[in-house]
Amino acid sequence: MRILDLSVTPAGQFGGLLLAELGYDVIKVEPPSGDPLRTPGDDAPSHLLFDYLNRRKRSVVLDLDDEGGRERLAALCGTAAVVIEDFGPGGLEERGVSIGLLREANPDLVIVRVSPFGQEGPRRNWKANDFVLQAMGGVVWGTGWLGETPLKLPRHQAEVVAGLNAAIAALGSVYGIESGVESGATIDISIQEAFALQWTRQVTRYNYAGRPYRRETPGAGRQGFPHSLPARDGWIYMLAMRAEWEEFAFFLGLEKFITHEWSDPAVRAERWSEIEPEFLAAVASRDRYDWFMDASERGYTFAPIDDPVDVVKSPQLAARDYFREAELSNGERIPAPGLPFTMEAPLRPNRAPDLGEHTDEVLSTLGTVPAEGVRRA
Amino acid sequence: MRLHKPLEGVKVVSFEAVFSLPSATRLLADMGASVVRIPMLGRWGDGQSSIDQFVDVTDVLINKSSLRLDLKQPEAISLARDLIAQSDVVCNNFRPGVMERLGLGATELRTERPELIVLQLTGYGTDGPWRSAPALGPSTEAAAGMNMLIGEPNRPPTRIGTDIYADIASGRYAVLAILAALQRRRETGEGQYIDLSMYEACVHLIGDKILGSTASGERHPRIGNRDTVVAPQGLYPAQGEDEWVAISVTSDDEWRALVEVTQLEALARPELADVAGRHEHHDEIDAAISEWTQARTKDAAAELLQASGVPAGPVTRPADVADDVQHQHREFIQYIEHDGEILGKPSHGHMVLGWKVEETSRQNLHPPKADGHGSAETLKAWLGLSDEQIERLEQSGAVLPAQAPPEQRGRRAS
Repeated sequence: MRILDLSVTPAGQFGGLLLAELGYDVIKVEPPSGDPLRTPGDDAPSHLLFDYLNRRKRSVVLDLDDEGGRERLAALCGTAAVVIEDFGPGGLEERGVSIGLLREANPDLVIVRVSPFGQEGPRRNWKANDFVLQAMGGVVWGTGWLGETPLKLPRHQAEVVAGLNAAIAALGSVYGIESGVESGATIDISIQEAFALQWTRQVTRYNYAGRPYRRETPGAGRQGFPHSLPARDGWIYMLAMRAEWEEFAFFLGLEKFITHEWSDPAVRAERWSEIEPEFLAAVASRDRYDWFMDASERGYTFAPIDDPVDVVKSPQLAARDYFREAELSNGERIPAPGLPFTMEAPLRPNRAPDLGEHTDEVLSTLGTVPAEGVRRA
Repeated sequence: MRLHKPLEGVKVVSFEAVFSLPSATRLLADMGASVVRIPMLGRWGDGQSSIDQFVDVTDVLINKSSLRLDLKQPEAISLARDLIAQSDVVCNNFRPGVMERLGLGATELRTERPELIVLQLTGYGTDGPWRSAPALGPSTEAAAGMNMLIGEPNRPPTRIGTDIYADIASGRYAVLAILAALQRRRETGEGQYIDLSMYEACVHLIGDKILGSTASGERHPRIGNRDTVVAPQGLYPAQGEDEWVAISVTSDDEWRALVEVTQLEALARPELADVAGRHEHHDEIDAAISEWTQARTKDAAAELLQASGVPAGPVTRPADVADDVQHQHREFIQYIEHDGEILGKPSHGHMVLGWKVEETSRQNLHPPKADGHGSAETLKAWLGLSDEQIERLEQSGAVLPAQAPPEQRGRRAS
C-alpha cells in the first residue's frame, strides 16, 4: 500500500511516519526547495524534528507550480491508496491541485486533510501554531497548579495527536474500501478537535454534572501529598490516592504518623506542613528506581519521573528492544523510538530520505501510462 | 446523510477495564465495528454504583454492547470462547498473565485460530523488569519523560491536566495496530499477537525530544509556556476567574501587528523588533500584554489579535467545549438522548469521531447503556442462543445482571 505524504508540518508528517513505521510505502512529495522542516528555523530548532518525522519514507520532488508536476502527482495518485496533506484550509487548491483532479486519477483515493481548525467553520482561517492549538483544544487549562498560570504540554503534542488520528482515519478508510463498504473519502481533521478528545473525561464530567474541574493545589494536591517528589537521584511519581494511609506511611517509614490523629485525609491535608519535612526526607533517602520496584510489589502506582536522557537508558525499554538505530541527516547513528508495539513487516531504512532521493526510481515506474485508468494494485 | 462506517463487519471482543483499551474499542465501534465489551468486574471495570462513576466511564460505553461475565465460572469462560470464535479481534488490558490463567491467553487462542488478531494493552508491556508494575496513564507519562518537559523553571515536573491522556493516546495506537493487523490479515490470512505498552506509546508521542536528548546527551530545561525559538509566547490572564488567552508571536510581522492592535506604548520599542530582543525582555512584554488581556474576555482578545494576523486563542475549559463556535459549526458535539433524565437533563453532549468525512454525518453515537444492558440481544445476535439458554446462563450466574440504569442512580455519598 502506497501513501503520498504531501505534508509540511509535524501534524501530517507524524501521520505519514506512523504508516511508514508500519511498513507501508510512504512517499514524501516535496517541492524543489524541499520540505520547510528540512531547514532549521521557527518550526524546528534543529534537523532532529525532521529526522524523527521522516524516517522510513521515500522522497520524490514534484513542482506543483508546474502543470507537468501536477500531472505527475495525479499519476502517482493512481498508484496510491492515501494522500495526506496539511497545507491548511484550501491550501491544496491554492497550489493548483483540486480534490477533483486527484479523485479523477483514482476514485478510491483516501484524501486526509489535516489543518488547525478544519477545512470549514468560522475559525478555519485563524492562525495557530501547536501552542495555540493545545490551549484551544483542551488539556492545557487543567495542567499546572491552582492559582498559577496553566501550562502547555511538550511542543508538537497537539500536532502529533492529530497525526495519530490521521493515520487511523486513513487506514480505516482503506480497509472499508477494500471490504466494499466504503468508497473513496475526503477526510477533514481539525487539530483542535483531535486534541480536545484527549481530555474527553473532563469534558463529559462537565457536560453531565457541571462538575467544576480544578488544577491541583501546589502543596498536598488531591491525594494528600504531591505527586512529584525528589528521590535521592531524581524525581519519583507517587500515586497512592486509594491506599490506606497507615500502610502507606509504614511503607515510607513514617511510623510516627500512623496514629488515630492522622487517619483523616482532611486533617492530613490541613496539617500537611507538619508531615512534610519527614515525608520529604523519607522519599529523598532512596533512589527512584528502588522506590518504584518496591512500591510496585506492594501494589502502589509509582513511577520514575524520567528525563528523556534517562528514558533512552530505561531497563524496561532495553529488555523489550524498543529502540531502533536510526541514521540522522548529519550522518550520526543513534537509537530512535519505534512504535509501541511490534508489527511484522519489512521496513525501509530508519533514516529520513535526501531531497528527491527516490524521484527517478518512483517516477520511472509510472511509465507512460495515462493517469486515467491507473488503479491501485 | 449516510454514516461513515469503514469497519462494518469487523467483530471485536474486548476484555477491558477503565479507560485505555475501552477508548480504543469505542473508536473501533464509532468506525462501524461490532464491539462486545466484557468489563472487568469491580473497581476498575464495571464497579459503578453512583451516577458520578457512571459519568466517568460513559464515553467508553457508547456504541458498544456489553456482557457482564463472571469469569470465575467455567460456563462464562466457555461463553467467552464462543464469542471469541465469532470474532476478528480479541483484546484485553488486564495485567499480564490474567488472560492466560483464564485459559484465554493469546498463544492458546491463536493456536486454535491463526487468523485471530489478539491485542494486549498494558502499562509497560508483557515482558521486561517492569511488566508487573501497577500503572495508570499518568504514571506512564511520568516514566516516559513527559512530566519533565512540563512546568516552570525551578519548579517540579508537572503531570498532564487530565487523568486519561496516556489512556486515550495508547488507545489510538491500539486502533492503529489493529487496523494494520486487519490489513495484513487480508493479504496473508494470518492474524497476529500485538503487545502494546502504554509507556512506549508516551515515549513515541515525544519521540523527537527523546531523539534530541539522545543526540545531545542534554536535558531539556522546563521553560513554562515559552518557546526556545519564537517570542513572546504565553498564556495571559483574561477577564473572569481563571480565564486565559494563548498568544504566540512567530514572526516580526506578527509582532508589529500585536503592537499596533494593543496600542501598548511599552512594546513600541526598537529593541523588541527582533526575536532576540523579545526573548531578552520577555518578562516585561508579558507584563504589558497581561494588562491588555485582563481588560478583555479571552474570546474578545483572541478575536482582535486574530483580526490582525497574530496567532492567539481562548484557553478552553471543559465548560467551553460544547459552546465552541468552531465545534458547533462542524457538529463535533452530539447531544445524546437518554431513556429518561440523567442528572436533570434528557440529553448530554459528547464529542464525536475526531474527523469529518465529506458527505457523511458525524452524528452516529448511540446512548451509553450501563454494563450488562441488552445481554440477551447480544447473545442472540452473536451466538444465536435461545431465550431458555440465556435464562439458564443468567440463573447460573455466568452472565450477571445489568448494572442499575444511570437514570435511577444516586450521587456519590461523599
